[in-house]
Amino acid sequence: MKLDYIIGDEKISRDDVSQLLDQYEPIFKKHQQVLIHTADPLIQNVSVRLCECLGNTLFLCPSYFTKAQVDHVISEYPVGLKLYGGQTEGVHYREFQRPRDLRQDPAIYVFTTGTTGTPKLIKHTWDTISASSFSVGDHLQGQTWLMSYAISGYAGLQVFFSADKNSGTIVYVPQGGFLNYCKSMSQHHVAIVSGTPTFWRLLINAWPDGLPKPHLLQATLGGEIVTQDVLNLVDHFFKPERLTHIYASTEAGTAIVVSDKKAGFPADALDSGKKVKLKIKDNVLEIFSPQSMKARIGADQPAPDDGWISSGDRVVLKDGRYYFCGRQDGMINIGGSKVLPEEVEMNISGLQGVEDCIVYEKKNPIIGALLAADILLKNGSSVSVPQIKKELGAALPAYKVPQYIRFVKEIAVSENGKKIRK
Amino acid sequence: MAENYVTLVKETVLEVMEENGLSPISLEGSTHILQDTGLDSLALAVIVVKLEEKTEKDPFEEGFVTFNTIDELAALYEA
Repeated sequence: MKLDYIIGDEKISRDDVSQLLDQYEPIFKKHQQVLIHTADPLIQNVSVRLCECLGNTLFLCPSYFTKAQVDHVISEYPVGLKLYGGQTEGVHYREFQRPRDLRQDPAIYVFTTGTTGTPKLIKHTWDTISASSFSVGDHLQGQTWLMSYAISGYAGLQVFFSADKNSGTIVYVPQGGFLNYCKSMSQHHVAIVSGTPTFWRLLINAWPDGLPKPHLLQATLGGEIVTQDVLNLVDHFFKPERLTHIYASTEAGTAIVVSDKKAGFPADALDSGKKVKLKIKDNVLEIFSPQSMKARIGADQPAPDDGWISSGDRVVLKDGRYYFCGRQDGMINIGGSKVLPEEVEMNISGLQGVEDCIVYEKKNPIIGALLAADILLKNGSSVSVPQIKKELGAALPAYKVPQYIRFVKEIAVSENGKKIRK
Repeated sequence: MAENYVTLVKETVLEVMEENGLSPISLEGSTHILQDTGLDSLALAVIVVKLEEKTEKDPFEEGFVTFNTIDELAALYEA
């Protein structure tokens, strides 16, 4: 029997999904604009499928949204149907009388929190949001995919469309730590995994001895800076058939795909003649893409007129490759010197015995601000603060060596598997 | 109680001295944190951050308060 989804222990067949599609179709047909607020992947996926097929406009609210945030969206847009809840607590809906607007083209609105935390609403068409699913290779048809991202975000939707349009099965893992991911991947023979570098590091760290590893046809890293260390780690641990890192954003879509197992991207990608165009302005990557958003709402800048989107990600050119080195807006000022926390993190994570870390600014009454680092050590390793400072001091100028270092038991990770910046 | 904070400050000063590669010295309540230990203002900033973590108190919330000795610093946390 063909499975569409595996959600925890529940196996959902194509027939189950068809039944739900039939059940909800009449009410979706009644309305032009639909809002979904659910943590239930099945309800979300059925809604997304219906809206795409019926030509509705869909607002996809993250499950962590409060009712007030959801109501705010409904007050700003002519939403006719709000669907909320899930299979366990019950699915509910509310209808609103809204005039039909014949000029409206169908669209999908997703929220992005970016690195700063204020939700921004990004408008895509059904074509731009699902574009990358059409470049999935033939050898990946009918395979099993892992969902490592929040289901309502751009990254989660990429996995959804890629699996869905290529007859795949998606495995959703119940919350409660990385051990659940390990077990689900092993048990369900997951073949395709996309996750952030932080996700991969924590997954591999949590992998129990003796648990069979699945044979991965495709391993993808993205969403954070991908270093050589983490590429090597994934390559050695899973030995995937293909190891790719991608650079994508909710605003610009997938812009860069690199499969040579090397960090960064070749400088000739800037004039590759492809549909996605790249340029570097003041050390920041700018993207022109047919997959990019149609509008950005509630942000400082709207979608640019000329189609070029500034990514806000800084790059540095070294030996014919560009390497990402941090967010333009994440720069920390330490005694007048500018520090990119990501650069320091990459150096710390490369040290012996270190699993992961996060570097941040800590306000201080004596010197204004300190550079601080929370470090998670690998299981069973013991490294001292003086040792770390000494090794970092050899690789970085003194002002980039965190003055305040503490060892922590975990690094906070967002629903999308990204490190949460303080 | 007061004694506890003095002990905590002493421990923290020694910890930061070690992190900065300084040999430990015997600390008294009257020890001047900067002059007598070889620590600089950056290290002092770290001491304050560590004490904030340990005590969950921030006596500098309203701005900088002067102190020189271990006793004086400990007294700020007693308040």
